[in-house]
Amino acid sequence: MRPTLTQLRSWDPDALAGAATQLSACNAAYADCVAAGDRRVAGTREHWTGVAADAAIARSARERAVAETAATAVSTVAAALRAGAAALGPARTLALGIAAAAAADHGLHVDADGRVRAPRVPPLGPFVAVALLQARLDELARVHDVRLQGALDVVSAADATTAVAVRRGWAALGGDVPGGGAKPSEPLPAPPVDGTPDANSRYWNQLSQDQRDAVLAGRPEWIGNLDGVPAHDRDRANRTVLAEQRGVLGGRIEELRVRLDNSGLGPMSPESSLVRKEIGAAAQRLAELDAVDRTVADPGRQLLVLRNAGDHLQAAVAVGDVDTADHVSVFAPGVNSNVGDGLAEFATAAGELKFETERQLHFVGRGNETVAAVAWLDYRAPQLDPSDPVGTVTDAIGDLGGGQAAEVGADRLASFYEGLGASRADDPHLTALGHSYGSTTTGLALQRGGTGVDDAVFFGSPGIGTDDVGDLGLGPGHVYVAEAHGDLVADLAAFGDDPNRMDGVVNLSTTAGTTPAIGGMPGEMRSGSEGHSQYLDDKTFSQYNIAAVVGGMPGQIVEGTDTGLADRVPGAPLRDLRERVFGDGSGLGGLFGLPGRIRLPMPTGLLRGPF
Amino acid sequence: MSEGMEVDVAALAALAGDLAAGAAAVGTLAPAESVTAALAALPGSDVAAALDGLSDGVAVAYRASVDGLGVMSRAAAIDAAAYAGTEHATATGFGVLEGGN
Repeated sequence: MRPTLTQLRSWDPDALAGAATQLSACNAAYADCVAAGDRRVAGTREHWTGVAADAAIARSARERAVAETAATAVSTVAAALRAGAAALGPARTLALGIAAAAAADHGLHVDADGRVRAPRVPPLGPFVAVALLQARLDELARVHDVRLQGALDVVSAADATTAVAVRRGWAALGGDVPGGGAKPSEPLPAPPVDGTPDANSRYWNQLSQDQRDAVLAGRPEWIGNLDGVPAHDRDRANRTVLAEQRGVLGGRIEELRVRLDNSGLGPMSPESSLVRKEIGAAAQRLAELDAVDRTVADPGRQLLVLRNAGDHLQAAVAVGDVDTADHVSVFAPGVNSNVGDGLAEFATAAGELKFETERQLHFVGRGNETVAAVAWLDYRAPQLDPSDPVGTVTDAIGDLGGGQAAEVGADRLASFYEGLGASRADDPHLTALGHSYGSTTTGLALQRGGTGVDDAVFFGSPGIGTDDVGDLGLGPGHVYVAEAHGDLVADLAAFGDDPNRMDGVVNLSTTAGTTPAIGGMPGEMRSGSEGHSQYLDDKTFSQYNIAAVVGGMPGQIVEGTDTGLADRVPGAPLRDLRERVFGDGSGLGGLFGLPGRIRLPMPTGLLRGPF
Repeated sequence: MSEGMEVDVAALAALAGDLAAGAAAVGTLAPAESVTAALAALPGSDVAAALDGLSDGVAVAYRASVDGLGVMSRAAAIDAAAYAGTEHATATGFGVLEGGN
């Protein structure tokens, strides 16, 4: 339920956080009292034995188990409230700020329900001048209105997500949940195990609306990452899981800190070190979750994947509506990409790409077509950290040398592509975008077949896992390659031929220049891309070209190549060199005395672009 | 052959007191105040709707523990008194027999 501005002004998320803390403390005291009673009863063993003593101990254990169930439920509610306060605070502040800015802008009216209207310009001057001024005010009001509605949607979503989490906790108490509907009399049907996206889609479509609501409320972890389920439902499920996990981890960190403070343990004691280590691990995971939360806080974003992969988090975020967009792009980044450091940046790049694509569509007369851009980090890209040489070498040999991460990631990415099509009745125009090691993953995913991808762009690619474009299963002229000046990684050909030298690819220009005229509008000056990491930078020529592919506008593409050093080497010797370095290790590996079949890692310096 | 038993009556009586104190401690907790504060923080919200009635549910759960601890406390107190009474009666019985012919 979207709040009115009046309601929103009356909300106090800080007070909600305080109430959550108070409830946690009360609940902890409750659990401690019952646990202490049970320990006291168990302690009578040394001076009370017999049938009566056994009965007392059994009764006490039952009382403790019941109390622990209740305490866990209340703890879940407290965690939900804590997470809700953390989400609602910034969302409320943003919405009220937008409303205030609108009200201060040229006398715009902001209604209690959050709609922004332009005042009527009195007809006191020439008709044309009045009309122009009115049009200007109407446009200003429209822009503010869109922003405010989006911000209120974010508040509403955070409110709804928190309410769902509260109801889950309450349900564990065994009570009737207000507003949560009657409990289903039958167990909820679970999704198929290892189901294909089509099977998952059938599963979801066969559920009644009540059953879907029950799954979203009670088992969101079932469908948040399930390929074939619509993006809207995956987003709802993942936001619920995100809020719960943030609350649980926040509560856990508080409990551990209290335990550390009250334990009397010395700071150097083994027990103290263990607790600190657990706090550190929980804090690291919470930081990743916070990064996801900040990334999806912006209006118009969908959290399509939230996956606990052990020592790290994996996620995918869409900018735009994947369920309805005419054009959908999926971008897989490369080495050193991770949720904690990079998700927000990749989502921003996705948003800029979406905007550029829609801009071009508008000018070619297809402005009614919509775009959604996905930043996909649902695989463990190799993490090469120069400050951790052992880990770096291990990762490099295991991942880069063997391509293991790309192979594992490719399976998941192929399923994600397929799921986008399976979840919709129509067939969107789908473009796969892969950068660096992500391009290898993308190429391998396409080779799985049946993905539904229509176009693919590989940029900064060290190889796409094949030497034959035909293996990707795309039509002629639908495979594009971009290679920027000074991008040494793009010339490595570590995982197949250098893509810009492959037959059948279309090379996209990445150099500075003026874009073609479009829809009667003159072209624009765009900057060139240098090195390995500027392909999606805003207002570059490579971004322009990639957007033209994403929007299905091949006529707008500007072809071109930037010939690198390796491009000047005849193909056969280059292929031979690649085999000797990245093949069975018999070449340079043999020279260095390495055991056979150990491949050499990609030097990290090359990943940072030109020297 | 009967099962062995051993009881420290004083310790059992002390257990009864401790369990009663535990029940009293749980009885002083007021989770409803926190829920009420949360309700007041977001009037008219979905969260407030979800919290409606929760304080009663939590109070019922806490009350069940108060009752359980209370029952165990009373049982321990009664048992301690019963054991003491039986011990005294048995000792008295032996005293009568000794004093008899």
